[in-house]
Amino acid sequence: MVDKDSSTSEANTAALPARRLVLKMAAGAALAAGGRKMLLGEAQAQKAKLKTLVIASPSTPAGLDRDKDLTQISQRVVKNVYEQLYEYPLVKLPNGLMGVDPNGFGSRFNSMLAASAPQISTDGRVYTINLRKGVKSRYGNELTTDDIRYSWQRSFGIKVCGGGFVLPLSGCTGMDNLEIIDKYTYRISLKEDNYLLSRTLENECGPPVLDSTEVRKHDNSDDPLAKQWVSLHDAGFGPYQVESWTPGQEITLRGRDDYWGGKPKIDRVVFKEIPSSADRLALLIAGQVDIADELLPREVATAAAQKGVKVDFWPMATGFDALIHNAKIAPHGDRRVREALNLAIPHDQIIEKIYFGRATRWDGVIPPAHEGSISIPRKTDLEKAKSLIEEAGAKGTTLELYYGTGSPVHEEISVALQTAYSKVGINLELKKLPDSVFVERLYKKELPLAIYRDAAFQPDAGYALGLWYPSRSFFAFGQMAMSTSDADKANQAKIDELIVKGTKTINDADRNQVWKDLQLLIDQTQIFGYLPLPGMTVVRRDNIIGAACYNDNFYRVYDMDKLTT
Amino acid sequence: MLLLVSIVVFGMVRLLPGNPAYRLAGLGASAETIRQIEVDLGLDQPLPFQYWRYIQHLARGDLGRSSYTHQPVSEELKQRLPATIELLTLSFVIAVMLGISVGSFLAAARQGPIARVTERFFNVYGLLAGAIPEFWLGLILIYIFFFRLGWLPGPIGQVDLDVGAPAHVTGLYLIDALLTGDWDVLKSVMAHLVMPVATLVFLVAAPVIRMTRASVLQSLDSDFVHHARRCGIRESAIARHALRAALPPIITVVALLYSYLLGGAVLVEQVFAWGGLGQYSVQAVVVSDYAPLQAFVLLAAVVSLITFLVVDILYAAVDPRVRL
Repeated sequence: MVDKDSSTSEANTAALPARRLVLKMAAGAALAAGGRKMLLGEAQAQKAKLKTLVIASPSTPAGLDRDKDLTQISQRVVKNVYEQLYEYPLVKLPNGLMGVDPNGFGSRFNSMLAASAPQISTDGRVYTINLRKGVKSRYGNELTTDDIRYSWQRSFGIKVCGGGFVLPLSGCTGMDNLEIIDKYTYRISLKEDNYLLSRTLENECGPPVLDSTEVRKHDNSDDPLAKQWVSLHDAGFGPYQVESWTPGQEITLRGRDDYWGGKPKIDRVVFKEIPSSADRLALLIAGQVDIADELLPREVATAAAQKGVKVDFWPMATGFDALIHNAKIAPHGDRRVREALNLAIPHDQIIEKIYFGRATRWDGVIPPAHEGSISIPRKTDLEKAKSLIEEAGAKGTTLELYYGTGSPVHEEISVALQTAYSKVGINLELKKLPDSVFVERLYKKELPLAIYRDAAFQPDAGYALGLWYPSRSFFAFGQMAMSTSDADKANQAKIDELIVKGTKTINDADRNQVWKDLQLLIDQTQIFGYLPLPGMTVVRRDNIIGAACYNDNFYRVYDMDKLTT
Repeated sequence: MLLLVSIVVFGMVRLLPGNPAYRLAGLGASAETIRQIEVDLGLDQPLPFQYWRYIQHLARGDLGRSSYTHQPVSEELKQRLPATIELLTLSFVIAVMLGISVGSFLAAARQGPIARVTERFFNVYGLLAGAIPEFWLGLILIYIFFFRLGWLPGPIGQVDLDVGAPAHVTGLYLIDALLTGDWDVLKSVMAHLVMPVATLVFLVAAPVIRMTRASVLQSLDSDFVHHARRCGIRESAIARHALRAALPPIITVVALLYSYLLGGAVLVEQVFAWGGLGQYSVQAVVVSDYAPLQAFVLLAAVVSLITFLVVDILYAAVDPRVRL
């Protein structure tokens, strides 16, 4: 169980009657005179000996359930606590940094909780997986196939990440796809061809492998599927465990001595909540924290110029910013208007003036980090944009562009777009919404034009295309299916067809051809405006080494070390 | 009164745009998932039913559970309240002492060049205090005293990370560090309090100074003071009586300040990563987390009601006419 001593005792104390509180205060004072100081001193000395990494983070986690707590900080923490069956191998990239190999994804995996690569039947429909033996959770329970069964059941019960889209996209729609062979072996059987499972066995959004022995103790009618408990406690098999957690202040992880891969080099990790990005930068420069997360591009540029601070930048990451056209709201149903607005995007200006060079042009319809993506060069062409606007009869039209308050960089991009669009005869009104409202209205397809940031964690074309572009997608194409334009509807039907066809194509060459045709078709529709890709950035003190870029755009503390200065 | 407040709070929070179910589900979620989350949170029920359930829980002291952190709100309030109380009370006490002392001094020394210069200085200060946003002042103090001069610790919460929180007795770090005799922690806690307290004091001391000066001046010009002087009563005794006569309007301003401080703490806590109730409420607003938001507003209402009660009691203590 998570050691939440401080918060628990605080809560208990607050419930004490005043008389007991007075006694407790007196006891505290007595302790001061006695041996308490010595004990405190020893504890502090012990703590000082540990190698501690302090990360300035915009918040503490909302929860620790990998199946449903999807905020950035939750994911950043749980990726150090939970572990998957497989992981893509890290390689040294051309820029000298470590990252997943962009040219060799396929089904090449490092085995993590699995003992070896999956054995795949010749027809590609049956996967047999052996678990690593002797892997234990922090509670001392050994990893077995019972944990896999429970994790799947729970994931399908929650239906958000693993059971909500990763497993269904991979052809697994329920527990009947899973068969337990013995304590360490299980089998996944597909009812029809689906190559994606060979990729998503690695997926960070797949069902998290939980210590079912521990979680089941809390899975009851008061807390079905132990949703509350798993949100507040860690139950994984990863290299770190939660040591303490004070919401709104900090969460501390402790490296596990009994981790199967060996004790982590960094003993403790403190995610300290510092809401203001300016404060996070100041603390990093002053050397009071080791890493500052989620700085604005301008602050990253400032940090890069400081002594003792290093900025690692990986241009090849899966995160993206897209301009989403809502085809069911005029004039975005007119392809010419969409193309004009996309042609007017000032790519170079955004990269240089807003990202200070730490972004790359998005040449394609999915980021190039996805295996199977093709390059479709983007350029700014104001003349062509102007003539398309005139041709569509939209000159002088006022459009609304929406973005969320949580993304200051989107505000800067919106201003750049406003200036660019004014040159092609479009007045752009900027509308900033609170994040929760923005997400809700985007989901309900009420926003005519919006900037949204997201990522498809699986670096595979089929996964990304299947996530963002089918008509059942919550995203842009759901709107295109409702477009007043017959051409849009026809294109959407063709896109849906190609996504299904590609997913069922097992042969790599044939499938890549389908993905190529699909990407070219998507580009013709102009339903997205492809804004520069922000990549992944880590801003750290120069004695912190080993950060690597994973396909989910998060670093893992287990790879890192802190050198003595 | 509290029942009325609870209805207003409940209604206003529900009027806020944004459905937490969409945020909790994430963009990739199906309509079925969103529906399930709405059911889990009770958002599928009619508003009167939701309110009735809220009141039932409230009567049992149950403030609900945060849909964001999944923890009971009452637990989270208990964790975060001491940090805010410490910050507000210290700021309040310093602001009031400073305000009454300076205001009385300005009223007493109303003539002469020094008095005129001091008065102008405090006039300018009053204008600045009314115009400067608290978060901006906080950031400027951080830039100067932490980043540039390095005299004070950075905005990393209530205590240095390598020192850690004191052993828990009351939850108030300053008090706990004193009680346990942990001097390193005490030093760290005091250093961390300087900038946020200075920010709040700078902003709220101005109205106390202004009101004290005006009220004491009026009191010094009143008939009973002139009469006392002509009777040859000592100036110190006259000043004491004049100050007491000036107290009612000062008490009103001071009382309002505590509620104002609670509002001001929202942004100051955010800037200094204080981890108290203010920061908690900002997070609740950002993520449309109804239960913590309701609890915060209800708590603020309770603080205001208690404050006004205390004002009435103090009025009776300092102004004999009230007791007539």
